[in-house]
Amino acid sequence: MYNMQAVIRKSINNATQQFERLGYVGNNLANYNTPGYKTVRFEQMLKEDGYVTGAVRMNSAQGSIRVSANPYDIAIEGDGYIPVTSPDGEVQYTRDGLLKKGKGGYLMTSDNWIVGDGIKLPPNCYKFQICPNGDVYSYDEAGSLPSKIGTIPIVTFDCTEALEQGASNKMVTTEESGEARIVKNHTSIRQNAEEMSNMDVYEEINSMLRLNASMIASMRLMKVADDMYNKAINIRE
Amino acid sequence: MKINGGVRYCEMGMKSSIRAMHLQSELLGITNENIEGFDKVGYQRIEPVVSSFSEFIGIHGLSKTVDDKVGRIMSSGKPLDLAIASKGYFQVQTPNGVRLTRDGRFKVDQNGYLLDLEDNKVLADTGMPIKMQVLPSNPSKVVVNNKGKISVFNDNTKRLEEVATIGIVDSTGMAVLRPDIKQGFNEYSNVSLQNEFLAVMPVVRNFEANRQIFIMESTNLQKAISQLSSTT
Repeated sequence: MYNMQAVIRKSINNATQQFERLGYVGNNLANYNTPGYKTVRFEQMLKEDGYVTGAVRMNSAQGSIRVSANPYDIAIEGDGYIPVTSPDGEVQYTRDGLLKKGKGGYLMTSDNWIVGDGIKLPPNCYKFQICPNGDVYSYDEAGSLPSKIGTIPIVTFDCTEALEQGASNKMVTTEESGEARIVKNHTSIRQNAEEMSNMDVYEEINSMLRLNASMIASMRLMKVADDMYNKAINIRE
Repeated sequence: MKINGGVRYCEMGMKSSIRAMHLQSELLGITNENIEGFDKVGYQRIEPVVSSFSEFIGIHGLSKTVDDKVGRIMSSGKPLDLAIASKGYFQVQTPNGVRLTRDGRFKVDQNGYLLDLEDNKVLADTGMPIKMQVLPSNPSKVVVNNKGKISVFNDNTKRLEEVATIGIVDSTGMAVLRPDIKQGFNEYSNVSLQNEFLAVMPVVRNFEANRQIFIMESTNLQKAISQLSSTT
């Protein structure tokens, strides 16, 4: 059973959901150059009662890998995340491998989160090497034997799609995602490389055009319904 | 209706104008639903059917049918997005029983169940929920062929293991024998906006015409009442 009020309310509901979706599209486009960023999509569902609801879904596809000259840049080729610890001791997970040598010589992310359980580069480090399995070796001087100073761990989750995107390009575990599990015997870390975001500009633009059409259509129909509503109320002129 | 002195007045006209206006507003509601469903995955257009005699029985003469043409199929690149390129529906187990849907945006939870976006379990052709015996480390380890057979790649044995065949049924619940499933695609609605907006025009005009007639009849009645009362 419909009535004018329902028509208008459904149109408003649809239009506001499209605005919400525009926010997610904008967020994806803004992170085009964020290393390791995974796009999120605001998936909409039309329920039987005619109301639109949404769910956020992450696209965990691999981003393209770009070679860089900085030895502190690492990329993960394959699944998994690097656990990082905040200055307050909170653990989150990231694929952003643009690292740096932070306070105390530790390998840190660009916003000062410690990688893994703390990998300390010695003060006299001549150069260091990160192996595909995450082992970090340091050379004291040219020609000397390397010494292992730590391992960059990689973790996975039972349900990667259920991870929640936290602040500054990091993932937070949720109840559905399960706890982090360390991956053994992997060879997915690349030094001197960075993973670009997995965003497809064309898909985002497509999504934007669609949401625009849907919103304009709902707004337009709302106007029609409003006119009709008005006439129905003032039925005696 | 017979007014005192024997003047006949037919009030059926006013009633039928009101009925027609009510019917047109319902039609607008249906169009609105189609417009809302325009860019929603798996939405199927509703076609209003106005039967004859609806000028006497009003909205009771209005019924709906679902337009089951296949909608626009678009690549999404996600391995767990399935589109049905033929007629038929997926079955999902909701708390209120089995529901049919053409929305094929699925995910795998931590227990290996295939779920839809609202966390309902997707059913296989056997009627049981689909459960992967191996948790895929990545959604791209799940392979669905065009007949709906789901397989998952086991990282330990390096083998593709068969899981189940997704159940596709028609609107009466009968199994569809040769469905055409496309992995990595989404099916958008089969609504075309221009047609919906064109359909609105006659609805609005019809509404307005009936309103005018109603006003005319109403004024006539008013006149009759006032003139009859002044002569007595």
